[in-house]
Amino acid sequence: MDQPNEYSRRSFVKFLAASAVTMPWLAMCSGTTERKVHLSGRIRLGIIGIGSRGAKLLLHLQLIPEAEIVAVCDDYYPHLTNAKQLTKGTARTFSDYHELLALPDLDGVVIATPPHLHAAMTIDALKAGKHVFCEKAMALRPDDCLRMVHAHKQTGKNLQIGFQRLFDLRFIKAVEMVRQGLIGQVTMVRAWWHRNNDWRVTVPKPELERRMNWRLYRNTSGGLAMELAAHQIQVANWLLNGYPQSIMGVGSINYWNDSRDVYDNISLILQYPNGVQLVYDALISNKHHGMAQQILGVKGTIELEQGKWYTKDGPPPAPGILQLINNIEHGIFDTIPIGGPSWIPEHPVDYKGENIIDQHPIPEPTQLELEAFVQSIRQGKQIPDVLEQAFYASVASILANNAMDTQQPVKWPAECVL
Amino acid sequence: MTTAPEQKFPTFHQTFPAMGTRCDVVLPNLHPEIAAFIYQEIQVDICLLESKLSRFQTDSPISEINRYAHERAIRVDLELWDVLTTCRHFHFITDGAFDVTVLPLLQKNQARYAVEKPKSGFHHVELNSADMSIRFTRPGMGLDLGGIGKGYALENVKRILQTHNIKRALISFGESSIMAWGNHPHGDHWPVSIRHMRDEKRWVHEFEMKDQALSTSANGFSGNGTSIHIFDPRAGTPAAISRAVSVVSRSPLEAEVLSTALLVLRKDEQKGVIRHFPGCQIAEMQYGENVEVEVVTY
Ligand SMILES: NC(=O)c1ccc[n+]([C@@H]2O[C@H](COP(=O)([O-])OP(=O)(O)OC[C@H]3O[C@@H](n4cnc5c(N)ncnc54)[C@H](O)[C@@H]3O)[C@@H](O)[C@H]2O)c1
Repeated sequence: MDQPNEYSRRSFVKFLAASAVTMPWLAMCSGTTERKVHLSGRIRLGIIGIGSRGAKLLLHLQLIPEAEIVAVCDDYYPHLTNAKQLTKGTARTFSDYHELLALPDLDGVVIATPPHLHAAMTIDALKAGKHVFCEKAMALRPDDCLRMVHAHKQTGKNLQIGFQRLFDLRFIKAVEMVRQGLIGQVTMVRAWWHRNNDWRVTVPKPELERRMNWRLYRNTSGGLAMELAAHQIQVANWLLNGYPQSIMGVGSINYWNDSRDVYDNISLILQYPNGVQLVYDALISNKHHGMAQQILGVKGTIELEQGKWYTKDGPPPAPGILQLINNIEHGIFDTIPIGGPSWIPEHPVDYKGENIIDQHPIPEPTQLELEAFVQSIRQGKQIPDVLEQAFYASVASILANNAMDTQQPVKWPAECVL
Repeated sequence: MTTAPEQKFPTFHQTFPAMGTRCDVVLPNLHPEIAAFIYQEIQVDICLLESKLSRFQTDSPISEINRYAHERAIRVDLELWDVLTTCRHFHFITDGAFDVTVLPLLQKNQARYAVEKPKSGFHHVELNSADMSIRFTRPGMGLDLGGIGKGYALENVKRILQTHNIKRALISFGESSIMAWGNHPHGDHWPVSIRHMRDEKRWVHEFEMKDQALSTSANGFSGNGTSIHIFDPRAGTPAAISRAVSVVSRSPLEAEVLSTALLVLRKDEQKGVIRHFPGCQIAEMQYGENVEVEVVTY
C-alpha cells in the first residue's frame, strides 16, 4: 500500500512527466531537486532588486537545497540590508549590479527590479556569462524584449522569465483538459483582475515617489496591462496556442486621479486566429468580482481561478479517469485509483462545478519555476517554451497599451515573431 | 511495463448520467466511429434498463410494483422477470443477506426500524412463473434495485462488448461497479485500485483485473451516499459501519451481490455464502476512527 505523501508526490511527478510531452518545460520539474547536495556542487545565485517580489523569490530559493544565494544587490539601502538579513548575513551585498555580475563564480542571477530595468540588467548578466531568471514582464518596449531574446541566443546562457502560471498545476491541468477536448472547441476566453486600492506604496521621503511608486508612471511601468493583464494574456496565449493577431482597447483614469499617468481601468479585446477573442478588463476601484480566467467551450466551461469546471450536459468523469486516459496516451501503465462507493451528484440535473484538480494544497508555482531554473542551470539547458511564452505575453501587453493610447486596433508586428 | 501495442487511435472517453450516478466509458485504440457507436449502444441500453428498474421514475414498472403489488399481482416483461428471479436466487444463496425488499427501512429513520422490519423480506414476495407476475404478501412493502441494477447493467455491457468483439474497455459505473474488459493497452491486465474512504489521495488495495467486474459497497461513512444505506434485512438494522467490501468476479452481478452481502453477514456466516461464489476475489476494509484501515483479502 502506498503512503499518502509518497503517493501524491509520485502521482504529481508522474503527472508532470506525462504533461511534459505537450508542456516540455515541466520536464525540468519532474527531476525534483536533490535533497542532499554537496556544498561544492550547489548552484550559486545572485539576486538583483529585492523589493517585495525579490524578497519572496529569495525565500523560495532558500527552500531549494541545491541552490545557494551568494550575493544580493539593491540600490536602495533599506532593501539591501533587509536582503542581507534574510540570508542571515551569508550573502555578499552590492548596490551596483555590475559588481555583482563581475563575481566570477556566480552561476546565475535572479532579477526582480522594475520592468524598465529588466532589459539592460538581463543583457548585461547574460553577457557576463550568467544564466538569468528575470521577473515578468520582459520590458517596456518590444525591441527591448527582442534584444533580451537575442542576447540569450548569442550567449547561449539560459533566460527564463517569471510567468509562474506555466508551473501552476491547476492551469496545467486545465490546458490539458482543453487539449483533450473536454470542453469542446474553445470559442472565447474571458479574464479580469479587479482590485480596490490606490496601487501605491507609502514612500518615506517625497524624493522616492517615482522610484518606489514606479508602477504609476509610464517611463517605468506598463500599468495594469503589463503588471496584471500580462499574466492572464500569457494563459490565453498558452490555451489558444498562439498570440493575438490584433489588439483593441480603451483605458482611462477615472478614479485615482493623482499624479500618476497610467490608466486605473482598462478594457481590452485580443483577437486570436480562428476568430477567438480574449475579452479582458482590469480596474483598481472595485474588487467585488476579484479575478477570473474563464475558458468558454461549446461543451463546457472552465473557471480557472475558482478551480472549477462545468460540463454543458452531464456529469464530470470519475476521478482517475482522465489520468488513466493521459497514461494510456503516454504509454504509462499505472494503477487506476477509481474504485469506491457509488458517486452521487449533488444536484442530479444542474451539475455543480467540479474541481479541476483534487490535490490540496498544490505545489507553489513560484517554487516550481525557481526549481526549474536551478535545474536548467544544473543541466546547462534552456527550459523549452517558457521564454517564448514570456515574449508573446510581454509584447502583447505593450501592444495593448499602444492600442489604448492611440484608440486604434494594433496589429501584431511581423518582426515580433520568434 | 510491457511493450505497448501500437496505439492507432486516441482513447475514447465519455461520461453520461444514469441510475442516479455517472457512467464512464473508456475505449482505447478504437476507430472513433466504432467507439462512438459502442458508446451509444451502451448508453441506450443502460437508459432503457434504468427506465424499468428505477423506483425514482414514477412511470417505471418498479414504481408500479411498489404502488400496487400488494393489492394485485403485477405482470412484468421478460427482462424484469429475469431481474426479479435473479434477486430471489441471490437472496437464497446469501442466506437472506442480499435482499431488495429493504426499501421501507431505507426510507425511515432509526426510530422506525422495528415498525418497518415486518414490511421487508424477500420471502414475502410471490413470484408466479406461470404469468411472470409479482405480488407482495404484506402491505407497505417496496423494492429497491439499487443493489443490483448496476451489476445487471454491466452484464448487458459485457454482452455488447462481446458482440462487437471489442478487445479492451474500462467501464466505470459510479465507481462502485467497474468492468475491466481485456487488458490495459500497456499491460496484460487493468490495475484497478480502491480509493481510501477518508483520504482521497490514497488507495488501499489493487486488483489485477482482466475480463472481470469489480464492485465496492461501503456503509456508515459520512458524506455523499455512503452514510448508512445498507441494512441487515434479517435483523432490520443497519449493517456494520465504517466498513467497505470490494469483490472482483467474472460476473458483474455476482460481484455486486456479494459485496453487499458481505457487509451484512457476520464473520461466521461469510464462509458458507462465499462458497456459492467460486472464483471471486474479495477485499474487506475495516476503517478505524480516522484514516487507519485494515485490509483483509481472500
Ligand atoms: N510574477 C509575479 O507574480 C510578480 C509579482 C509581483 C511583482 N512582479 C514583478 O517583479 C518586479 C519587481 O516588482 P516589486 O513589486 O518587487 O517592486 P519593488 O519596487 O518592491 O522592488 C523593486 C526593487 O528593485 C530595486 N531596484 C530598483 N532599481 C535598482 C537598481 N538599479 N539596482 C538594484 N536594485 C534596484 C528597488 O530598490 C526595489 O527594492 C516587477 O517587474 C514586477 O512586475 C512579478
